[in-house]
Amino acid sequence: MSVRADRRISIATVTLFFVALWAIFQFVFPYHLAFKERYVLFMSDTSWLATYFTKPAPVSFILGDWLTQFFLIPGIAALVTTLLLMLSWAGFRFLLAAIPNVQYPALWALLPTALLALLLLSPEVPLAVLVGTCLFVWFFGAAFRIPGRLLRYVTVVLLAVLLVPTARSLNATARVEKPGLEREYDYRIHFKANAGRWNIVEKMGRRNPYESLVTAYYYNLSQARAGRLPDGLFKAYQPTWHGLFIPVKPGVECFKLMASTDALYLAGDYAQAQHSAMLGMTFSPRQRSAAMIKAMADIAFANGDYDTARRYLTMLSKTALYKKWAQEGLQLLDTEADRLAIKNDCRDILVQHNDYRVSLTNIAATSSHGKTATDYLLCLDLLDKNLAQFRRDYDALYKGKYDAVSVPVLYQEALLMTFDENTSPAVQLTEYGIARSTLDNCTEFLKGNEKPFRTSYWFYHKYAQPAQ
Amino acid sequence: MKRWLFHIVVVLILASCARDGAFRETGSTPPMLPDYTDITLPVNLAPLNFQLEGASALWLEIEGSRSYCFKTSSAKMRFPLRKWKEMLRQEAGNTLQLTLTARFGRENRRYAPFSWTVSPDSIDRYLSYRLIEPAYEVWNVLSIEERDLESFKTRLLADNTTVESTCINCHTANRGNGIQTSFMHVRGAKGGTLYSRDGQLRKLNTATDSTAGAAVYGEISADGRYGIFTTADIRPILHSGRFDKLEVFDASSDLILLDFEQGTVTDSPLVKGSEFQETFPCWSADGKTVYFCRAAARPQPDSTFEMHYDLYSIAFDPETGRLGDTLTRVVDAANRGKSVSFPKCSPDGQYILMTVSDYGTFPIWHSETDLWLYEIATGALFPLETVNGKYSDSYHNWSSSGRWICWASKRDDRLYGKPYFAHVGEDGTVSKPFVLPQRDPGRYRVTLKSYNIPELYRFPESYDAAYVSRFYTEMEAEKMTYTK
Repeated sequence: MSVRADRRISIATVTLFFVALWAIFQFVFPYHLAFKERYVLFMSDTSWLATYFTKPAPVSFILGDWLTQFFLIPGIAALVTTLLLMLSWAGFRFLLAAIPNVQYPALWALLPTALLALLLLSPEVPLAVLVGTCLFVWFFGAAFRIPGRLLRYVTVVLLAVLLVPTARSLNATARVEKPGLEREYDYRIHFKANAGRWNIVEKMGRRNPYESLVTAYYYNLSQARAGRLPDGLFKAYQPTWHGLFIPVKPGVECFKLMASTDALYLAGDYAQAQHSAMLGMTFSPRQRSAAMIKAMADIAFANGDYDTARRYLTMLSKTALYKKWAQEGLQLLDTEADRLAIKNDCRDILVQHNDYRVSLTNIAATSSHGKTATDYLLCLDLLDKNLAQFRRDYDALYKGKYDAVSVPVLYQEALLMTFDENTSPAVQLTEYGIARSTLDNCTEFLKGNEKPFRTSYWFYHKYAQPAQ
Repeated sequence: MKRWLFHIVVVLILASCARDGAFRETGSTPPMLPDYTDITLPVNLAPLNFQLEGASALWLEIEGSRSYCFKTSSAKMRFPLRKWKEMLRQEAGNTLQLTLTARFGRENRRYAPFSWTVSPDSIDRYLSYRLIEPAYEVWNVLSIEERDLESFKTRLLADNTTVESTCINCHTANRGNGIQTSFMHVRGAKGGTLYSRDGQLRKLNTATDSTAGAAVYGEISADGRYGIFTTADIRPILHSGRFDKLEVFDASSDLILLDFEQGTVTDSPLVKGSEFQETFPCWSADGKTVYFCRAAARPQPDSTFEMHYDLYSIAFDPETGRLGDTLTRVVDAANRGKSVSFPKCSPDGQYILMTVSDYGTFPIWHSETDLWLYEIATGALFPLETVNGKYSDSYHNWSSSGRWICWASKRDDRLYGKPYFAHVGEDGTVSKPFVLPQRDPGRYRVTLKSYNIPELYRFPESYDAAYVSRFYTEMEAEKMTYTK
C-alpha cells in the first residue's frame, strides 16, 4: 500500500473514531460525563486556588475542575471530553512518532485514547486525569526529541518520577465503574429533577425500563412535589417503600447519598436532608461538591439558619454557574432576611438517621408545612403493607386535617381494608369519605376480577413481594 | 554625591508609606477579615495577615515605641515574617495604634484607628487540631495537623487515609512545665492509644475485661505518669429542629485511671456503675484532685433533653495512685438548668474553664454553648462574655503558662469550628478573642474542614503521619492490666 493510501486510511480511521466517540458521549452516556460536575467545586478565588497547590497535580486539577463545572450545560461534556481526547491522541501520536521503528503511530495512539475514554465514563474519575495525561504525553514527546542523549534521558526519567505521584493522586480516590444504560437512566432522571424538568421526570419514572430504585425514587418525588403522591404511586414501578427514601448507610455510593437529600428536603425533614447533603460531599472523591453546597444553602434557608446560608452562598457566588443564584440569595439575606418564610417549624426531637417513620410523624404532627410529610408517611405505611399503622397514622394525622374535600383513591382503598367488622359499614364509609365507585371496585376485586385493578392498593397488597 | 544619594533614599523610604492622594475618613474600624481589631496578641505569634474584601491596595501605619508601615497592592495584607517578629520583639508590653487606609477603585478610605496590645506572655509554640468535615458522626478523610504558631509551618501528625480510614482523635498534651507527654487515640481493628513521652512512643491497649471499654476523653497528669479517662458508649443522633444538627449522648460512661508507668488500669466504685454517668475528667494543677462531669443516668435518647451534668471532684493520691473515697459537687449546674462539659484547670490552680450548655454532654453542636470560668477559691462561676460568640464555643484548653486559652468556635456560621485565642490576665480578665492567623487570610472562607480539638503544647511532637501509619499496621499494642 502506498504511503498516501496509508495516510488516508489513518485519517479516515481516526476521524471515524472521534466522531463515534463524540456520538457515544453525546447520545449514549451524556449523564455519565455530566455527573462529574457533582464532584467538583471550582471557585474563582485565589485562596481556593491555593488549596490545589497543597496536593500533587495542581495544574491538571485546576484546568480539569474549571472545565468540569460547565458540564452542567447540555452538550458541553461530550464536546470538551472529545476535544481533550483528541489532544491526548495527538500527544500519544507525537510521543510514538519520536520512538524509532514505530509504524502507524496515529493508529496505535488510538489505543490509549480509547482506554482513557472508557475510564472517563466513570463519573468519579476526574477530568484532571485527561488534562494530566495530555500534559504528560506532550512533555514526554518533547523530551524524546531533545537532541543531547544524556539530557534526553535525564528529562525522561525526571518526567517519569514526576508522573508516579501525579498519577496516584489523579486516581487516588476515584471509584472506577462500568458504564451502563441503567445507570445512565438514573443519572439522567437525577439531572432532570435537579433542573426542575418534572414532566420529564414523571414520564421517565412511569417507564422505568430497568425497574430502578433511583428512578422510582425520583418518580415519587415528582408526584409528591405536585401534591399527588398517593394518586400517582401505583402508576409506576414501586420497589416497596425503598422508592420513597434512599437510606444513608455505610457503603452507599456517593451518587445515592447525594440523591437521598431531595426527598428528605421535600418532605420537610431538613435535619436528615442536611445530613445526607453533608455526607454526599464528604464521601465525594475529593470532599467537594458545588451541588451539595447549593443543597445545604437551600436547607439553611428553610431552617432560617442565615449565617450558615451566607457562608455557602458566598462560596457559590464565586463559581461560574451557581453565581447568579447565590448572589440573589445573598441579596435576599441582606435586604429581606426578616421577611423570609421559615419552612422548618416542627418540634425539635431526636431521631436516628434513616428512621423516617419517627421523623415524618413529628413533622406531620407539629409542622404547619406537614402535608407532604403526611403523604410520605402514609405511603410508607402502605408500601410496607402495615395497614394497622396506616390507619393509626391516618386517624391521627390526616383525618380532619386534609380530607375535607376528597380523600385520594389509594387511601380510600386502604381504609376499606381497615374497617371494623363490628361497626356499621355505612357509618364508616361516610366517616372516611369513601366514594361509591371505590366500594364498587372493591366488590369487583373481591369477586376475582383483578385485571382492571392492577394499579389499586388491593392488588399491591395481595401480590407485592418485599424488594431485594 | 554619596550624601545626595543617601538623602534621596531616605526621602523615598519615608514617602513609601505615604498614601496616594486624598482619603475619606470612614469613622469606623476596618471590616478586616479575620477581625483583628483591638486585641491582645502574644509576643511570639505569627503575622496576623488579614484581608479587606474589595480593596485594591492597603496601607497600614503602626505607631508604637517606633513607627512601622506595611503596604500591599492587593486586598490581602501579608506581613513579612522577619519584620513582623522584629516589631513584636521591639513592642513587647506596648499597645500599638494601627491606622489602615484602603483603596477601593479611585477612592482611598481611612478607617478609625484600632489597637494591638503585644503581651510579653508567650504562647505555647505548637497547636494541634483535627481537620474534619462537620459531617456529624461519619467521616471520610480526616487528619491531625501540628501548627507552629510562630510561623505558618504545619506538619501532619496523623492522616486517616494511611490507617484504613479509621477515626483518629483527642491529641492531648499534659499541662505545666514538666516533661511533655501526650496521647492520641487511633481507632480501628489495629489501633491503640499512642502515648508519647520525651520522644519515647508506646502503643497501648487501654481496654480491659473489667472496664467498660478503651479510654476515650481524658487528660494526662502534669508529671505524665497518670491518665484519667472516660470509657463511654457514645451514640450520635440527629435533631429535627432548625438549628442544632446533632446530639451525642453516652449510653453509659465511667471513669478509669491509667498508670502509664505500671501499665495498669484502675477505677473506683464512686466513678463507675449504671446509676450515674461520669465523663470529661481532668486533673487539678497540683495533680491531687480529679474534676469531672456527672449526671444521674436516664434512659436516652428519650431523656437526653433532661440530662444535666454537674461538676464533681474526687481526691487523688499520686503516691499510691488511688482515687479518694468521697465525691464533692463543685458546680451544681442542674440547679441552674444547665449542663457542664470539658472542665480544664488552669496551670496556676486558680480557675476551671468549662463549657456550659442547656443540657447533655456533648455541646459542640449546641449553638448556646459558651465558655464559663469557675474561680476555685471563691466558687464564683461566670460566663466569659468577652470571648463567647454567637454559636458554640468549646474544646478549650490552657497554655502551659496559663496566660492564654485556645478553643474551637463556630461563631461565624454555626458549622465550621476555628481555633480562637484569648489572653487571660493575672486578675482573670480575658481579652477579646482572635482567630488563628493563616498565611492566606482568605483560607477560612473557602475551607470545607472544621478545626476540631485545638490543643496547645510547648515542643513539637516526636512523630508524624508516616510513623502513625507504621504504628497502626506494624506495632503490637501493650495490653494494660486491670488492678483493683
